[in-house]
Amino acid sequence: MNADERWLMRASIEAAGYEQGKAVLRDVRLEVKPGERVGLLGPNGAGKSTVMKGLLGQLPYWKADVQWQAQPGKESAGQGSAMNSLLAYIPEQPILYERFTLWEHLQLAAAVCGISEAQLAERAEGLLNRFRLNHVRDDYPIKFSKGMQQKTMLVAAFLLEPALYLVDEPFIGLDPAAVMELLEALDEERARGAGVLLTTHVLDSAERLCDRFVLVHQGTAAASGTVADIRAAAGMPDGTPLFDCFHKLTKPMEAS
Amino acid sequence: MKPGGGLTGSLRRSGSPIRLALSRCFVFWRKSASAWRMTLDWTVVLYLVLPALWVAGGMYADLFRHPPDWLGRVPEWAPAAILAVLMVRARLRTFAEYGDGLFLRASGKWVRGMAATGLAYTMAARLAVAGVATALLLPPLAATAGWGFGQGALLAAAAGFMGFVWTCARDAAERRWLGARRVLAVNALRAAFIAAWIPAARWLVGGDEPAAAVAFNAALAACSALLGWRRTMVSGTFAHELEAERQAYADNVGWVLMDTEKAPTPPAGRRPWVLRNPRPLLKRRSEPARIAELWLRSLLRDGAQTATLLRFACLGITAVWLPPLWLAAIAWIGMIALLALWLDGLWDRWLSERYMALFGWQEDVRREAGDVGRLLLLRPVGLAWCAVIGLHVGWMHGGLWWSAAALLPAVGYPLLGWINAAASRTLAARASRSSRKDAGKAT
Repeated sequence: MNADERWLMRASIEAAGYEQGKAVLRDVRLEVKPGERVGLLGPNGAGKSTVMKGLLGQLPYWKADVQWQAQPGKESAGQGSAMNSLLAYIPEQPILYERFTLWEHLQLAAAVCGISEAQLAERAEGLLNRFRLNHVRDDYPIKFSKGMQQKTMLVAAFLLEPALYLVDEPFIGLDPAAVMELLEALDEERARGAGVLLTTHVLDSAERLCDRFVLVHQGTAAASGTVADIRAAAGMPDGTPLFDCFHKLTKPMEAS
Repeated sequence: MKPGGGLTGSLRRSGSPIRLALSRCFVFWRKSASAWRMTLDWTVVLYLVLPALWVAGGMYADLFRHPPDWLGRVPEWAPAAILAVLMVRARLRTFAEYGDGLFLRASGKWVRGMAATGLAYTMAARLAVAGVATALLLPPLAATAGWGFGQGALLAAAAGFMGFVWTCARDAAERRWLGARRVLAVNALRAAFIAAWIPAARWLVGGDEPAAAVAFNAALAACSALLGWRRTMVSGTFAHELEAERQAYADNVGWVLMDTEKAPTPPAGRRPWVLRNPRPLLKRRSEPARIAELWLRSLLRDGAQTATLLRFACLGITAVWLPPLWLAAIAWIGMIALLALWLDGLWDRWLSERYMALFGWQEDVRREAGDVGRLLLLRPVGLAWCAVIGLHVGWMHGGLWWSAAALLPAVGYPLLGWINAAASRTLAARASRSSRKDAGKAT
C-alpha cells in the first residue's frame, strides 16, 4: 500500500441532521490520512459542527458510511463513535463535570477508554507539565479560567493517544503560548501517525497549518483538496490566499 | 411569561426602578408558584396537602384545648431559637437580572432605586415572616409562659429588624469572601447572630423593662435604616446580586425541581471538601471499580444528594425500629429495594452528564461499574439497618439476644451482595425491555 492509499478514516455522509428525515448536511466526503491535518472550513451555520457531532455519534439523523483503517493495538470503533482509543474530540466550549477535580477527569477518561493506572500516571504527568496544569491537578476545573478549562480538555484528549483528533475551533479561548503548545503537541501526535480534523474560521492559520481542506457551505461540500485544488475550484490564480478563494466559492452560492 | 401583559407588564411599561423591581418580584413569585404547581397538582393537593393541613391544624388547635404536659417543659429560649433559624436563612434581595449589565447598570439612579426597592422588600419580608411565626407561636406560649400581645409584637418586630441586619451582614460577607472562606464566614456569622439574638430575645419578652425593649427595637430599626442606606451606596455588586438572585430562586424551587435537568451548581471551594485526598478508596483497581469510585466521590460531594441519602438512612432506621420484628424484616427488604432503585436512578443521571456522555462506554464496563457503585452505598446503609434490627432484638429480649446486633450484619453482608446482583439483573432486563419498546416505536 503506497502513501496515497493509506488512510485512517473515511466518511461518506449521505445525509445528517438534528431531526429524523430532516437533513441539514448532504453529500460530504472526508478522508484523513495518517499524520495529516485536514481543515474543515465554512461560514457560520455551514454544517461544520454537524459533521463533528455526527462523527461523535451525537446526531439523531445520521446516514453515513464511516470506515476506520485497522490500527494495531486499537479497538475498532463502531459507526459514529464517541471518544475512545480511536477518536478524541476537543470541543470549542469545554465540557467538564462540576464534581470532578482535574485529575478525576483524567481518571474517568482513562478508565472508560481502557487505559491502566500506570499508563495514566505516565502519560498524564508529561501532559500536565506541558500544559502547566500540574499544580492544579486536585482542583475543580469548573473553577478555572476559560483557557485553563480548554487545556483540561486538551489533556483529556491527548491522554487517549487516539488515531484521530477532532478539534473544534482550536484558536478560540487559548492564549498564543497555549496555541503553540497545542500545535506542538498535535505535531508530535502526527509524527506518531495520528490524523487531525479541525474546524476553524481563522483561514490564514488554516492555510498555514492544514495539508488539505474540505469547504462546507450550505450543508454540502463546496470544494475539497489541497490549497491548489481549492484555488482551481474557485478559478483563482496561484498565490491567491485561501481567504479570497473562500469568499469567491461562498459568494455566488449565497447570491443564488 | 408575558412581559407585555397584566400587572407585570403595566409595571414594566411605566419605567421607574421601583416599578421594575416590583414587576420582577411578581415574576419571581409567579415562576416559583408555577414550579410548585408542577409537583402539587390538584390530586396531590386534594389527597395529600389538604389532609396534611387539616391534621396539622387540628393538632395545633388541640394544643389550646388540651395543652400537653411537654408544652410546659419547652425551654424559654425555644421560640427565640425558632425565630433565629428563620432569620438566618434569609438573604438580601435586589431582583437584578443578567440583562441589566447592558444599559441599566450604567445609571446610578436606577441602580440605587432598584437596590432601595430590594432592601424595602427584604425588610417587609423579614417583618412578615417574623410576624407570622410569632403569631403561630404566641397562642400556645400565652397559655403556658404567660406571654401577652405586647411582648409578642415586640419580639416579632425585633426578629424582623434583626433579620434585616442579618441579611446586610450576610450580603457584605458574601461579597467580601469566596469559596470555602465564604462558607466559613457565613456560618460563623450565623452562629454569632443566633448566640446574640437568643439572650436579647429572652430579655425582650421578660417584660421587666418595657421602655428599654421599645428603645431596643427603635435602635434596631435605626441600625437597619443605616445599613440599608450604606448598601445603596456600594458599587461593584452586580455579579454578587445575580448570584444571590439565582440562589434565592434555587432555595424556593430546588426541592420540587431536584429530579429535573437544571444548570449545575458549582462547588463552593476551589478544591473538594469531601474526599479531598486523591488516594484510591478501593483495593480493586479494575476499570469498573475505578469508575464506581469516581461516581461515589462525585455523589458524596453533592450536598443535596448526601442529605437525601442521610434522610433515607434515618427513615430506614425508623422503619426497622418501630414495628414488630417480623414487620421490621419486611420493611428492611422494602427499604433496600427502594434504596437500590434510587441509587440506580442517580447512576443513570450521572452517566448522562455531558462529560460522561463524551466517551464511548463499553456495555459490560458500564454495567459492572453501576453494580459496584450501587453496592458501595447499599451495603453500609443496609448493614446499619441490620444492626438496628439486631439492637431492637437485644432491647426486647436482653441477654444473649444482644448478639443479634453483630450477627444480623454478618448475615446481611453476603445477603446484600446477592440482593445487589439480583437488582442488577432485574434492572438490566427492565432497561432491555424499555429499549426494545423504544426501537419498536422508532420503526
